[in-house]
This record gives sequence, structure tokens and C-alpha cells, in this order.
Amino acid sequence: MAGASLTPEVHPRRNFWTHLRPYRVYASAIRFSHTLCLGGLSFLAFLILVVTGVLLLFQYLPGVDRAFAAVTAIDSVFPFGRLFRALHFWAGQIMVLTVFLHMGRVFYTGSYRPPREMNWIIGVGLLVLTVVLDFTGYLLRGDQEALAAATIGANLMREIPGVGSALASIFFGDVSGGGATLPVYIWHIVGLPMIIGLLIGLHFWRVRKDGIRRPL
Amino acid sequence: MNKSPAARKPELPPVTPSTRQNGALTQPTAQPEQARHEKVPLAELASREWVTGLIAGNFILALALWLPPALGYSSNAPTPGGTYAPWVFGPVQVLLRWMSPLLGGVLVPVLGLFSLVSLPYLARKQAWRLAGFLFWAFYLAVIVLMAYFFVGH
Repeated sequence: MAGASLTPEVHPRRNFWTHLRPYRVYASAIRFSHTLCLGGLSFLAFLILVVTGVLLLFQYLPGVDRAFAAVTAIDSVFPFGRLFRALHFWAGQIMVLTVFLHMGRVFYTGSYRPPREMNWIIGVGLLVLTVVLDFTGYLLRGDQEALAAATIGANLMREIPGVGSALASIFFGDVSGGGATLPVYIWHIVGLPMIIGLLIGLHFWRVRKDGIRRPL
Repeated sequence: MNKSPAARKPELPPVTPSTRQNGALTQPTAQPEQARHEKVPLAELASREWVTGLIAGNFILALALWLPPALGYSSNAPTPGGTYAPWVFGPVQVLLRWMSPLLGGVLVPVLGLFSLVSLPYLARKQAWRLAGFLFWAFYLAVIVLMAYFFVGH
């Protein structure tokens, strides 16, 4: 269950990048194992999401009336549009799944314990943000199910005492006609990916700093 | 636990001195504990990352080709009889069937996340059983509710 804690070796030219990618790594840390390095797989899914998402940005239009037409056009008119949207969709589902399983592995190997508590909290934050990112992507389809999901999501947020209505306005905007509103679009393509990217960098940095705990 | 990096560093096993054999210095066969601390160049890691990335990327590509995501009806069309949440929110939708929106949609999920955040601090107090109970209760509840959601779907 509990693996050995390994700390990175100090080398002369030390900066953030060489900290993440040291010149020499522990052989035991890169061995293939039954836990499949799920954190790395979720990062790969995030990279696929970024690349396919940028490609989809060239054709997608937010807005209650325009989003559904834009997604239909991406699927049926633009070359490889359907493939890129399918890749984007499946990478999102795989990312949610691998982050959830990764959390189970981290707990199982005891990697949440001190001195790694800060990284555990960052990981919980990444889990929440990944689910929210998946949800906002679902809303941007602009179809009836997205409308229903946006309505439910906004109403649930309004249930938060005091600040609920303000938060719903900031995050969802006016969802009476559909889920693909401008605030949801901005959160999906700028706000959430930026925060997730920064937290992933911090997460990897802490993994190196606190030492790798096997199996990955 | 603000230990210095030196304090956190694991204790390495004693190094067995080299021996001279046939005119050259040789190291004795690495013991299992020594093998754990053996290091390899970064290129070794990078090559494995590429192989893993290609396998996982091809898996996602196969899913995308064989199971492309469907698109529903325009939001201007008449509302269908029943709608389902995206699967990641399946557990919340199941809770909303049984509880009020404030309880099932806000308080219970927030309490679940709060229990996850509290785990390292429970570990610091060595409350292992409580930490294990909280985590596995959360984890299994999500899995059971998700299964319930898919069965109902």
C-alpha cells in the first residue's frame, strides 16, 4: 500500500522547468504499473482538450440562437469538424474519469498525508474544476438538454443563501433561452482552462517538491 | 509539518564499496533497496511518455470515431417529456429526486468536498479510521449514485 517517498536530486541549473523535468529521474518512478499513471493520463486528456478546443473556436459562435446552428455546422459542414468535436467530447469524459480514479489511487497509497496536504487540496480543486469545465462544455452545445441543464444549474446556484443570485448571474448570465450564453462561453474557453492550467503546474511542482510516491 | 527538504529525504542504504576485479573497478550487484534509488536519463521517461501518449491518444481517437457524441434538438423546439443531466452530474440529479434543491444540490455536495479537504488534517491528528471512512463513504456514494443514475437513464 504505502510506497517509498523519493525526493528529486539537486542539480546546478535549477529552475521551474528543470524542477518539473529533472535531467535524471528515479527508475522506479517511471516503471509501468497497474495504476496506469492516471494523473498523467488526465493531463494528456487536458492537452487534447486544449488543442481540439482551439480548433473548434475557429467555427463556434456563442449565443442562444447561434450556438446550436454553429455546432450543427461543425458536425456537418466543416472538414473534420465532427471528428474534432468528438475528440473534444471524449477527451473531456476521459479527463473527468481519470481525475476521479486518480484521486482514489492517491488516497489508497496514502499520498494525501503530510507533507503532501497542500497537493491533495489542489487536487480536490482540480477535480471540482474539471467537472465544472465538463458541465460548461455541455451547456455550449446549445440544444434542449443544455437549456435544461443550465436552468437547473442556475436555479441550484440561486439556492446558496445570500450570494446565490449574484453568483448565478456572474457564472451563467441569462439562461432563459439556452445554456450557451456569453459568460458560460468565456468561463469555458478562458477562465476555467487558465485556472486549471495554473493548478496543474502547481500540482506537478508540488509532486516533485514533496517526492513521488509509488505506484504512480 | 514544515520539515526541511533534508529532513524529508529518505535514508539511503549504506553504499557497498567498489571492489577491484580483473583490473577494473566493479560494483556488486545492486540490492533491491539500492535499485529503488537508481536513476535514469530524462530521455527514458520521455520515450515512455510518448508511447503511453500514443496508446491513450489512439484510444480516445477510436472512441471519437466509433461513438461520436450526439446532438439533441434545438432549444427552440418543443420541450421533451424528460431530460437528464450530463453523467458527471448524475449523482446530484439522483439526490435531487430525494431531497430539496438546497440540501441535495448544494449542501450535500459541499459537505462531501469539505470532507475530502479535511482528510490531510485528520491524518495529521492520526485519525486514520475517520479519514478512511469519510473518503470511502464519499467515493462509494458517488459510484453507487452514478450506477443508480445510469440504471434510471
